[in-house]
Amino acid sequence: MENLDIRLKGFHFEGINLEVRTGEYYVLLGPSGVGKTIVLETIAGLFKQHAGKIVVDGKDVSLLPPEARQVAFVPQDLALFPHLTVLDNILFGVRLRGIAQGIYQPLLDELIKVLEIGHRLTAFPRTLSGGEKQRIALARALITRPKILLLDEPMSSLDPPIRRQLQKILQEIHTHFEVTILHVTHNQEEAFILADVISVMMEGAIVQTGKRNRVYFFPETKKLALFTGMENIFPGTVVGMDRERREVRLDHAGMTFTARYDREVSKEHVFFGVRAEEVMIIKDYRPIPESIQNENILTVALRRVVEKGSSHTMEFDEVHRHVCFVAEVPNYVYRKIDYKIGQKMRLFIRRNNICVME
Amino acid sequence: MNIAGKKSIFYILVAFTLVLLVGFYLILLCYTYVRYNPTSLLTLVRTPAVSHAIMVSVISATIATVLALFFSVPASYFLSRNEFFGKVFIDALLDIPVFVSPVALGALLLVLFSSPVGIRVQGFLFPVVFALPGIIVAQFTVVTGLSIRLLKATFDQIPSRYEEVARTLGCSPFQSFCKVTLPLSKNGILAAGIIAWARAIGEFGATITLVGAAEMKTETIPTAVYLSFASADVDRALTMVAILILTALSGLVIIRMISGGKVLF
Repeated sequence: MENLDIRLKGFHFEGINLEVRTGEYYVLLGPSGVGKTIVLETIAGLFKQHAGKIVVDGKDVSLLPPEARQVAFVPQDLALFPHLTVLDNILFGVRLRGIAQGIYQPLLDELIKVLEIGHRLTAFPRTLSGGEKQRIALARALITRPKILLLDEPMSSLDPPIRRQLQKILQEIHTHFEVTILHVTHNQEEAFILADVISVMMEGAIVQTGKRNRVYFFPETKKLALFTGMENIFPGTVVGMDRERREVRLDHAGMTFTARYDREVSKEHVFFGVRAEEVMIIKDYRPIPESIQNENILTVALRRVVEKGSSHTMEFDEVHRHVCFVAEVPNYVYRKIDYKIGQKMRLFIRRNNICVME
Repeated sequence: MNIAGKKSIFYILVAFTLVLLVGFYLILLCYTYVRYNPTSLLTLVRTPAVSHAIMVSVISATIATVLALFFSVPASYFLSRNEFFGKVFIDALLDIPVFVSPVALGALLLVLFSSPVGIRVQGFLFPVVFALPGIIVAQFTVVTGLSIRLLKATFDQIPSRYEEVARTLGCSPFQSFCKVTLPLSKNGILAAGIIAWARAIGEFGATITLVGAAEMKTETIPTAVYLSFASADVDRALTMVAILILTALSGLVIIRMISGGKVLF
């Protein structure tokens, strides 16, 4: 998508650029109601863009109808045709195009095997479970050998176990069938698990695009950091920058933090943060290893612990300035060490894990 | 009195109104036909005038229904799927045949086809005023509005998402309509057709105003009922009424059977 301008249904997007490379799993991530689905539907040709270009496999499809774009679309509600059996649903596209059975049969057999739908071929959609419907909709889309598969919130209506199962299936079809996927979701965990590349859409614009780790651990704005669930975010003042050592020093409430310098920081007043799972705890009686003495070490007292099932969220107060820090600790670590409320300890934050935002 | 008690009194009152209405219609039908000799029905059906009236009604209602569906299926589909300036006005205009008295519609048709333009149209196509094709025109005018209303409700219930997905799977707009929308609206179209047919076969006001009631020519079942009562031939009139009732009842039963009770009315 090049400089796409979309104006419909009360949405107005300008200059949207997305580049999905062949074979890539690309996730468009953003809060609900931001217009991600409209972008997907515009690529599918269901809406006409106001300006800009959509290129699929080197061919400008901006003015082509949906049926000529070689793009498969799996909507959030799946829209399995209720009057057709599972097999007729899957074969809808290939039969329509008059593709001979000998050509599509090997792919059909493979899809049935990978998606484990062989036992449901004669059933009607109303009798299928949510997960089965998802797999049938994927098979229906994939059998047409699309240049790109568009997925609109494919897991939003599924229970967590089925969601995890479908995540595995999506990973498998991506690698097994080498299909290019553009997946829209509001769920950052889902995006992180599946994506090669993530674009984040907020308030009608793409605010950041990058490899999943980059977007997840180093969001470029505070809003994006909040959206991706970064708990430790602080306003700070840039007090020094060492380009040779690629370091930037930041002050917050009289505390100095050192962060990795990976791009020019043009402002004096910025935000900086670190994900809770990157905050490490050192018990107060343990000596600080020499290797980390130049990293960020804070003396804190434990304020509160929230049990989250698979992990514990621990909240700390910096002992002198009462600034709150949050750490996410796996259960086995939490159970191994006996923590008490008010107990003093030290937090260790690697400079490479602190991100600076504007 | 507890809440459950109040609730049961409410339900008794509600059920009572239903019993009253059912009783009223049963008395209306039974009282008439208890006193009426059913064997005379078959005898009367065989008379040329009555069988002609039945044949005219059945054929004209069938043609009018087919024509009404031919126009109202695409028109109602367009109305269901598109938002445009003036849609409210067009919606209201198409409702006129449903809400305006058929006699008034017949008068409008008579004036139109008696005008110089109407006479020229009749000369070019076929005679309408006081002629057999006029029955079809009158019935078509009355039932098309009704079938558009029913079909639009049917298409509104089918999410356009199905058509959109069909488009991305390779369908043209026409193919997506034929392969997805039409099969999904099959019951709705059938129901609209049966209702339109039942309404057309019972049409009286517009027909008698436009084509009159000439025996063995333009006489339909409803006009035969009217003429029989007018000439005090109660047996013939009740025979015709029985035929109308049986036709309407069988149509409604068929609709409820094909739709599994989930019809639009």
